[in-house]
This record gives sequence, structure tokens and C-alpha cells, in this order.
Amino acid sequence: MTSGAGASLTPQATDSLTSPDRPRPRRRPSLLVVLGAPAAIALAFLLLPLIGLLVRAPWRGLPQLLADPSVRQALRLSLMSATLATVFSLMVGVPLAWVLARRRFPGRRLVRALVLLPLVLPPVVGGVGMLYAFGRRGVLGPALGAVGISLPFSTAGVVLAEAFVAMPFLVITVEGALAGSDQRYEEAAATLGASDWTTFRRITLPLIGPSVAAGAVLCFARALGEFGATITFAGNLPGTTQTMPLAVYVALETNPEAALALALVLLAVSILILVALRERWLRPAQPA
Amino acid sequence: MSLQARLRVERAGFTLDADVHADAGEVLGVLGPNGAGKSTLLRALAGLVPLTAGRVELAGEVIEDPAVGRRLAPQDRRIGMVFQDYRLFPHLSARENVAFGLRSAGTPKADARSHADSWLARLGLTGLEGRRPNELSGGQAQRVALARALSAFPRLLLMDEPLAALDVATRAAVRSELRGQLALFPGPALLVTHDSLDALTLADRLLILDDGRVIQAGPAAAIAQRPGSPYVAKLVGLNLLRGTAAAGVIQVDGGGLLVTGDSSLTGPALAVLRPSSVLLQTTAPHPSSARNVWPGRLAALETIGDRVRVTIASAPQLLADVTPQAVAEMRLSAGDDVWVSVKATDIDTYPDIYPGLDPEVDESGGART
Repeated sequence: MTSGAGASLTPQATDSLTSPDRPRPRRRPSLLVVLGAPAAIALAFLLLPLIGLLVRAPWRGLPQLLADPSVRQALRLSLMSATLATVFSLMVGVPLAWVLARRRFPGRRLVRALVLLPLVLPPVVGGVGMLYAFGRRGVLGPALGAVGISLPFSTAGVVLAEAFVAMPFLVITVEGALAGSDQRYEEAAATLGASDWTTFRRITLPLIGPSVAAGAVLCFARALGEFGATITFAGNLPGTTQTMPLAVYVALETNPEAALALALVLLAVSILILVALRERWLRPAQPA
Repeated sequence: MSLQARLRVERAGFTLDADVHADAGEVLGVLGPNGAGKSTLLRALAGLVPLTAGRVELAGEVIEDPAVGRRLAPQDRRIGMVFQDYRLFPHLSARENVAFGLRSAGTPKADARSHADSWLARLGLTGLEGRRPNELSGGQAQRVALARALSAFPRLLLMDEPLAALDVATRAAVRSELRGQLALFPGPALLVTHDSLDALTLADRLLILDDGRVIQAGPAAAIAQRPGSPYVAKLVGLNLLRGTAAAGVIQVDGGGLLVTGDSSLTGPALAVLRPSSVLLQTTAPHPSSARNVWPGRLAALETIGDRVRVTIASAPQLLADVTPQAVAEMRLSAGDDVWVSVKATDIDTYPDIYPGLDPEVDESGGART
């Protein structure tokens, strides 16, 4: 072992080289041992829940459990609402990212901080906030009510709650790409006579395309797993607002096997998302 | 179609203050050290940096004048720019890169593409139309960048160190080609460089920039003979001889033979020689290792700092740099007869690919006199 060889050589070397009043270096356990043990604990901690899911899963009854109409209903509702939340986030989040990355205006840092707030805000708080913004007694409630729109406890409410929590993931990913892609190509396009709009459409967007896609996948994943804001703002109505995570939670009390089956489906979707993002995340960090 | 500009750009810790003039068909070389403001000058003309004060007039149209609030956006200027790093759009093919300007101007896709293909063919890039920038060599990318800038019918062509990113061998070939293309370009062109060879081979006139100011401007030969400062002397001090090479000897246009030792070169050639490599003697030298020895007459002496730049009327005509002490000891003065010696190994040679396209070739016996 290298540490043993080092220990036998070091004392002689220090004796001859350092002054007598300097303390002799003590033998220390290798860094791998010091950091390796907690690293193993962390790894086990992260993996055990997954193992628990896989070990206890009712593999034999799985097809039957998943064929249950209420499960398929929750799955369909989850996929649809997460997709719509992602589409909505793309439509308004990419422009927001562009404004944050490319425009200089007073209070830009504050606006940026507010946009990122949902990332750290407890989702339940987001849900309560949405109730008092879009709910019947909310700020916009009377106006929405006047045109016959009621968002709480509706599927549209699910989409909004998910978008509220998930959109910041898209915005920071795209903003980072826009800020990081220097404007050299846009300058070149301008000298070739391209209008701002042509440059945005033919140069800027294609160049940040991979980041938009990654941000959208991330946004979709977060929307799919959304729980707190959804249950607070949209409730837990099977078929209308009961998404997969809510169904898992409810089933855990009444039908644990069904909860496990639903959890497995969500795990499978998560693995698919990780595979989709592998180019971006699964490579070891490299210096830029 | 000429350019007349007075540029003032103020930024934290730096001010550019320069008058720039270039006629139609003229190539103005902009030289200077790093940080002199060369790139800022080009960017100001292109509209990528706003003027603090001044006025830019191109082809009779005022395109920027802060005093009257006039400022044409970069995309409305029709000023082509070749960037030092080329800036080819990485997601578009060579053809789409070149077609980009025309398509932005509303030309139908098919027309723009066939126009782009003809430009690529003009620059010898046929067969590479479908390649992405990352599949092109440095020389090819430079040509695509030039084709892209020229294909949008610019009224003014700006080039920022167009050859700096190329290796030595590619550089000589692209330089010759660039000279050919510049000869065909009808508008004024500005070429930023810090390479005196590029400046002397490609530019008709030079503008020397230092610390944001023009320290000297004029025809290259005049600046080389009377550099305003030691810095300019070093920058523009190159003897550039054009001629025809055969068997290691160049027959210099305008008279004289130059032994170069480079027997691989045949046909139109450029010989480049530093003034500091030219040896002067007042008497005929004994046999020496210098392969080139010929008589001449001192046409002019100019003291610049710690050196004296001497113009020697001979065949071929040369510039030589000597110390003031040597001038004093040899009692050199204008009109004296001297002997010139040059070692063959001090001469750099390059093929001169497009000699027919440059109208100045025939008269350039010496350093473009």
C-alpha cells in the first residue's frame, strides 16, 4: 500500500531536512478512507429507497394493477398536464429568459431573483399563493369569474400549479445558455443585413436549441412530480385533478400495492428523463 | 463609393479618435499594436459600437452622426465584415452561411443558394458547399467567411486580422487569393493586421494606429522610407520584392537578380527581407559568404530613434537599417555610392499566386515605390 510505504520513508526524510523544533508530521489515515466512508453512506442512503421500491414491488400483480382504470386515468392526467405545463412554460419562459439574459433594465437582478423564487419556495406556499391570485377570492378571481373561468379544482388549475413550480427550471437553463452564448454570431448576422427577428429565429434559437430542449425536459420532470402546489390549488379529484403523485399518496393508505405500482411507473418515467438528459448530466464534470 | 469617417469612441480607460478615408477600390491597411483600437475602429464603422462623436459617410450617405442623432443600425449599413475568428454560423452549412446575407435581404431560397454556390466556386471551395464550419480547415473557413461577407454586396468591406488564425503555409496561399479578391472588389476595403507582410502585400495605403490615435498614414512605401517612430519603422520595415523564381534565383521585376537558395520555388514569387539584414559597405567587398552583392546609391537617410533607415537606389531597390554610429564612421550621406550585401538565408520567399490581378505588380520594383 502506498500509505505504508510513505509512512516508512517520511520520518527519515523529515529528520534530515527539517529543524528540530518543528513538529514531526503524524501519520494520518489516507484521504480515501476519510472521505470514502461517508461517501458510501451517502450512496447507500440515496439508493436504499429505490431498492425498497424494487424489492417490495408487487411484480406479479403489476399488469393487473396498472390496468385499473383509475391508475390509467391518473397517468393520462399526469402526462397531459405536465406536457401542457411544459408547453406553456416554453411559450412564456423562453421569452422571459431572453429578456433576462439580453436586456439591461433597472431591477433586473430583483426580477431574476423573483423568477427563481419558486425553486426554493415550499410548493404548498406556491399553491396557497395561487389560490389568492386566481381563486374565487383571489386578486384576479372576480375578473376571471366575470368571463366564466374558474381555475381552482380544475385540470387547468393543475397545469398552472405545475407550471408555477416547474417553469423556473426552464428559465434558468435557457437564460444560462443565452448569457453564455456570446453575441458574436448575432453581430455577424447583423453585418450581413439580418433583422433582429431573422437573427433570433435563424441564429439565436438554433444555437441554444439543445439548452431549450434540456430545460424543457427538466421542466416536464418537475411538473410530473409536482405535489404540494397541485393539491393546495387544484385539489385531489380523481379524473380531474388527481395526478400520479397524488394518487400514490392516496393509495398508500387504502391500497399499498397500487401505490407501489404507481411509484414504479413514476420511477420508470424518471429514468427515461435521465436517459434523455444523459449527454448533459451523466458525463463527469469537465473544466469548461 | 468612398468612405469618409471621423470616429470618436470613448470607453472606460480608452478613447479612439481617428480620421479614416478610403476611396472606391482602395485597400486601407490598419496597423498597430494590440490594444491600439484597430478592432474598435472596424466595429465602430460596422455600427457594432456607437460613436461618441464624429461622422461616418459612405458612398455619399451619412450613416452615423451623433450630433444630429443619425445612426443606421448595423443590418442597414451594407458593410461586410470578416471577423478574426470568422464567426461562421456553426449550425449552418458553408452554402447556407454564404446565402445568409441574401436570404436576409429577401432573396428566394433557391436563388440565394445558387448565388452562394457561385461565390464558393469563385473561392475554390466547390465540393465543400454542404460542410459545416467544424468540418472545414482554417484556410477553407477563412474563404467561406470572405465569400459570406462579399456575397451580400457590401458597400464597404472590413477585415479584422483575416489571416491571423492561419498557419504559415496556408497563410501565403490565402493571402495571394485575398489579394485577387480585393482587386475585384469595387468598394473601399479596410484590413486590420499586425503583420507587416500582410499590410504591404494587400494594402494600397496604411494607417498606423497607437493608443486610439492615428500616428501615421499614407502609402506603404512612403511610410517605410520615413517612419514616424521606431515602432512604425519596425512595423513597416520590410523589403518586399516581386519577381519570377527559377532554380533558387529570383529575377526581380524592375531589374536585378536575387539568390534565395530556395530551389523549390518556380514562377511568380515574393521575396521578403528585413532592412536590418541588409549590409552596407563603401568599397567593393572581398569575396564573402553573402550570395547577393550589388552596387547602389544612397537615395535617402532617415534617423528614427536608435537606427537610421537608408533607402538605396539600386536594382533591386532596398531599405536598410543601420546604426547612427555606422553612419558617422562610414561618413554616409545621400548620393554616396555603396555596396549592398544580402545573405541568401536572410531572404524569405513565398509563391505569388495571383500576380496578374494586382495593377501595382508591374511597377513594384522595390518596396512598392
